[in-house]
Amino acid sequence: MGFDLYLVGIKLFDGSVILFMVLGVVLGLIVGALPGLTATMGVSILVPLTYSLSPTAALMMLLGIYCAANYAGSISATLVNIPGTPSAVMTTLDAYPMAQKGQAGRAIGLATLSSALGGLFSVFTLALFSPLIASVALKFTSLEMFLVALWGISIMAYVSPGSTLKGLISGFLGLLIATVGFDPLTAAPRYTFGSVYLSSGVQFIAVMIGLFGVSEILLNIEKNHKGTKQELFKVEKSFESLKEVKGLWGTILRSSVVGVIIGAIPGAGGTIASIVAYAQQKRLSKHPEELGKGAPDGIAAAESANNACTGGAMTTLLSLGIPGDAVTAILIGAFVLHGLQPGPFLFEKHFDLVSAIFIGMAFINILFFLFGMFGAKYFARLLFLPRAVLNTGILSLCVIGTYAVQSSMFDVGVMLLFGVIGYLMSKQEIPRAPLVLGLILGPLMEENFRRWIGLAHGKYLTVLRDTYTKNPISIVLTILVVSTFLLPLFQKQKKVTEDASKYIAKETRKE
Amino acid sequence: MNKDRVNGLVVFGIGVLAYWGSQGFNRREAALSENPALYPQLLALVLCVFGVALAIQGLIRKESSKQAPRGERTGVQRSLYVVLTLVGYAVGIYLFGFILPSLLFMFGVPILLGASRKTAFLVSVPLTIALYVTFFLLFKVPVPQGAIFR
Repeated sequence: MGFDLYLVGIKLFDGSVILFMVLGVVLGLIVGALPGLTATMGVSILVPLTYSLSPTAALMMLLGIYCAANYAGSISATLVNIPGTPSAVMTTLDAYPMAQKGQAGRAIGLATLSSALGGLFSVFTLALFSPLIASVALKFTSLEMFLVALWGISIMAYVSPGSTLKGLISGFLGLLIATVGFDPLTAAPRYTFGSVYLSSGVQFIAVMIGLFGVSEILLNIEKNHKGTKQELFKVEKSFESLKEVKGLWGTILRSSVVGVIIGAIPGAGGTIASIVAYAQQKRLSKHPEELGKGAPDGIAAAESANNACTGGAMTTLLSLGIPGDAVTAILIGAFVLHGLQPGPFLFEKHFDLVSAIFIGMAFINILFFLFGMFGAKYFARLLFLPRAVLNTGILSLCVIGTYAVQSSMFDVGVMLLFGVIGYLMSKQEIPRAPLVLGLILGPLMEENFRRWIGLAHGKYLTVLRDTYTKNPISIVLTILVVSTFLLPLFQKQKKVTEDASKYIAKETRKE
Repeated sequence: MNKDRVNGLVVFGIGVLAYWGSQGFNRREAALSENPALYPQLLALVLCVFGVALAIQGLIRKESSKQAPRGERTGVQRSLYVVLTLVGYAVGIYLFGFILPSLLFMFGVPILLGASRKTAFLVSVPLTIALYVTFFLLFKVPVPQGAIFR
């Protein structure tokens, strides 16, 4: 592989790829700046649009939405005290007070710069570590692959806000839904009820659009969130904040490391990363009393951490095929839509595409930095859009987008069904992301589970003993899975995720 | 009955149904790994266990079921109307293609969500055109043509 991995992808960047990458960044900024719309929703409803694009153009557009939306949550957090995306909750604490002091431009500048630096740091770690992890993962046996997938689901269930048990239920429901269709080994129909539409399984893009697009809009409609009437602060002199970076290097670097590590944990995501980084900053700061009153290091910690998550989440996605958060779970759907399977084999079969992803993500961070510095005030104007019109447009996009994937009205029905299911799940405080992860990892888990059973020839205990004595990776993975299942029994409260959900609930009530 | 008890029972029911449904799968008894029912049955059993655990959790916590406040009930009703409109929209585009049902949808739903008729009228045409141009012309993705026009 060598250094080629960092250069060979350049040849894939033609005019159309660059155009769709820029379009993705702009769409991401729009999605992120509007409270109620999240990166997860944006990516899920726009996946079908990429159907006719080349895999590189499609992935660049979706990654553009992902990274830019993660940053743009800070725009409304600064200007109207409402985080545009959940991951901008901690930014609100310092960016809004700073804006109230007449320094909205400074706050936007700091958030933009910290986000871009956090993002770039995460791309660097992605490029450095994902090939190494992939080379180890290539040696995994079927039992180990099964354990990796099971660990992915269990950790996502554990990290999701609320009860771990509900997270596990959601994940296992996803695994069960993934069994619908012809059995991959014997071609026997399973749960198809004689329907030809179900013989190839449940279309996961329809499920994702339903769970994250329609249900999210239904929840927004229920809250009756109408655009803001609040006057926006003037965004001026944002470039002057660049001079402050000298004093914030330590904070940005530390928080970026936190972001990358948390991003790599399936299900953790930007919200938790920004909370952890902010708490860490408060502990290490020389003036902890200033945090929450418009401190620049508060903004830098929260923003660099939540954007550094993108590279962390992509590391496990590219090297193991296990997504780090809900958005990367949806990105797997986009990979599959274009005939690609993320995981260690991607580095062997689509070496140039992996390289293009590294290069593209670096450019995306630079692009949103430029758009943010020059255009944040224009994206902020979107807050005045009437919500009724916006929600209607998104719902229509969900219907047409789902139809477009296979020209199938059956898929539209599936999407609507999962829209209602997702809405009910939210009302019952059952996380939706583990269901999508289960649906995506289901085939991988079943294939490896049955392959292992087949290879064991009935001598399961002997084969297990051999595997554990010869291979330490199996032991580590088993400990990880078992401890994730048992951890909730020994912990009264999931501190960080509980704090995050409480804070989000408080902010939502404020709206 | 509190939420978790009901949810636990629902999950248990799904597990039982999934197990029962998998019994009819075409089995090849030669090897366990070739049994198409094995994996779904294991998942169904795990779901049954999780369902029981959730119901027990609900019993232990004894949270009382609360009546939703009036504002929330109105919100739920509004969401329900939107779901019904979406079903109508899906049937509409299947029968008549993208343009006509979309125009009606873009006009009707904003009103349902509290926008004025004037706003709804002003946005319905540009929104429909924008979606058509985005899907069909920019991204070259097919939009429904309508069963009765085929």
